[in-house]
Amino acid sequence: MKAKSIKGKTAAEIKTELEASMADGFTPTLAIVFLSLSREIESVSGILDDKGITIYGATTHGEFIDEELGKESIAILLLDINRDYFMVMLEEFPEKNYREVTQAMAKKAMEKFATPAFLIAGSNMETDAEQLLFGFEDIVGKQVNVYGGMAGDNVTFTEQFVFTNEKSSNRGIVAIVLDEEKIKIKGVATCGWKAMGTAKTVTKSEGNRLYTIDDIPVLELTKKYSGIENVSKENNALAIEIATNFPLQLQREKGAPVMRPGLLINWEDGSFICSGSVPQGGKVRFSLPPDLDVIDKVIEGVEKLKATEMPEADAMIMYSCAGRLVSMGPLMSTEIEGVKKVWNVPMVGLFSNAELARATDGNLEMHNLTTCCVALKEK
Amino acid sequence: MNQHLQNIFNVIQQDESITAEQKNAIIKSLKDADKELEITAFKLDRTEKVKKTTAILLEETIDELEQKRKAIEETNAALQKLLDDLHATQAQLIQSEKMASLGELTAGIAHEIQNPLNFVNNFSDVSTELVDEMNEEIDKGNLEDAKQIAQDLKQNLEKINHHGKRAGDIVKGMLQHSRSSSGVKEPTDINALADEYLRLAYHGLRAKDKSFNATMKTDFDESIGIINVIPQDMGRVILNLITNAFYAASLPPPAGGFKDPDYVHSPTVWVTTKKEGNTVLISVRDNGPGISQKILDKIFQPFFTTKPTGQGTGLGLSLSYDIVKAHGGELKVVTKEGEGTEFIVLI
Repeated sequence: MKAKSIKGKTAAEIKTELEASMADGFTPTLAIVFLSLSREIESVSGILDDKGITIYGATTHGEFIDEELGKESIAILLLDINRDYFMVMLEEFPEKNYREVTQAMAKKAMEKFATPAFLIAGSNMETDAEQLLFGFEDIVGKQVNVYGGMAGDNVTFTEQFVFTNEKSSNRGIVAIVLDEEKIKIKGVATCGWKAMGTAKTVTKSEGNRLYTIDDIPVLELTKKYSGIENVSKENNALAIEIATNFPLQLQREKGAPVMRPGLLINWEDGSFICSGSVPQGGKVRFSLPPDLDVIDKVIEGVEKLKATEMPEADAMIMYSCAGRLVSMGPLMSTEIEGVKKVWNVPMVGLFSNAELARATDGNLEMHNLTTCCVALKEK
Repeated sequence: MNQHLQNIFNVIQQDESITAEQKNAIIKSLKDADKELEITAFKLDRTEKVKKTTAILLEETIDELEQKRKAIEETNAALQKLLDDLHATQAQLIQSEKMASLGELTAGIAHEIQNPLNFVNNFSDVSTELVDEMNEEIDKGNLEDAKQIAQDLKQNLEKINHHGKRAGDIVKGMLQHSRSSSGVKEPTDINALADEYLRLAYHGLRAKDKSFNATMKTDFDESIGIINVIPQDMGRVILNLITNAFYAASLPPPAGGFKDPDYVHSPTVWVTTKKEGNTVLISVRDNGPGISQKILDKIFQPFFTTKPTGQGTGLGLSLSYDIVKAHGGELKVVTKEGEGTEFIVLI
């Protein structure tokens, strides 16, 4: 499988780049499109559609194809993968029946491939991404390979989209289904946020809406423990500051804790809409950003993946949390540069709302403040 | 770009004496330096932020832990008070149980005292008559006869004294039973103690219920001699076991009658003592219905009783167990449904 990555500030630039990439006879069949300019979805889709390229797309909080981070731009990974080895699906879940929707997708995938793997992207802040993962597990089995992320919106937390050639959705899921018998897919996820302080009890919550911890509204408690100043409705940067500098970690009886940062603040009751479900009665701890050497750990993780499971790759996809961009600042370029050098193959990446991958203990889960690197190789 | 680097950049750009190649190399170095500066500034800023947040979090966590420590202290104090109250209640319960068993003894004690009192009364009456007779003989001048009567009188007075003392001993025993335990082991004749409580329990039950009847069988090992126990406490254990045994032996036949239709039940209680090496064994056995396996593991629990409400405190066996344990001994139970129960004290 041959791969090329292109980027541009406008649809017109993309058109030029695409044509240049195809000048040597390269004929891509699949495009992984990440863009933070949702207004460009239609025009970019049109350009790719004209070339007969199937699209898997998501809006982002930022996108890249190399260490130069893009903002309000378009990044695309082009693959000339055999059409018999993949399919792309987009489904919506207006009824919030996340699990049922992905169960149906998995059934459809199983009709075509005996061993399907999935690269997914979901939209909408309310989406319970874990339910999406469970749906795939229900049908394909616990061993299923699913990687992906939740779409962003240029750090406005207003409206996110996933899209394919003919359709886009602000409450849906797009998936590339790969035939694992033909395409090898492996990924690794690294977080690094450190738990701090005592474990506290979630005293009121519903799904991903977290009301109180130890009977204190979560906003009030966060303010007290973080020392964050200017806690007011007018401070637009507050939510991202809390999410990136003082996220919650949900403790679990088995396995590593998972990050559950508050993404939206409800000023009426001081509650948070978290990135994922936070069960009532569960234990949470605050956490602080990792040491800056976490970047080395991310790179080491990918190097280990290469050494143990994936000696060669044709292309790479990186799902990285937007919170890392805020927390790691200019060092994110160093991380991306280091990861890219591992296989030195074309790549594309986005800054997402959540990352979907296997955790260290092997469970398929939704993460936050995590970098998930996925490598593809035609067998 | 950093202002100072920008100044250098501007100067380099305008300097025509430097070749394009050199310019490019210098500009690349300037850009690299600018990037490194930016990263260093970011690291410093982030370190400061994290330091500040960590300090506040640490302060709040210390404060939270301090509050939790205080709460634990308060809980501890409350628990200590509850424990003290519990101990006080326990002491009261033990006293109640003691008084309850004293109540059971009262009728027996009254019966036991009545006997010497009868003797005292009878001998007093006889002695009064003897005094009259003696006076008559003195008046007649029959001094020899008067002396003889005086001799009889003396014997009567000795008997009165003997039975008076006997009644006194019974009262003393009763007081000893109701008094708080001295907690001090004393040389005690365990056979005499068992015999006394067997009789007191029997007569007590008889006095309360005229229809009550049971056979008592004893087999005391005289080789035991005197052993060191706390007599009030061990007496309470024996009394409790005997009272329970009489109660069990006298229970009505099971619903549907005895398995053997020819069987005639005769309530019987056996009290046996035996010395085995350094261990003294006190056994109280009855031929009652036995204890069901379902409740066997509960009988030593406080407040567990099979007696109808108001008839048992449920503390007797529990206290007995504790007393025997405190003596470094064991209280065992052997039972067979339909055949009877044996409680064995090993000390």
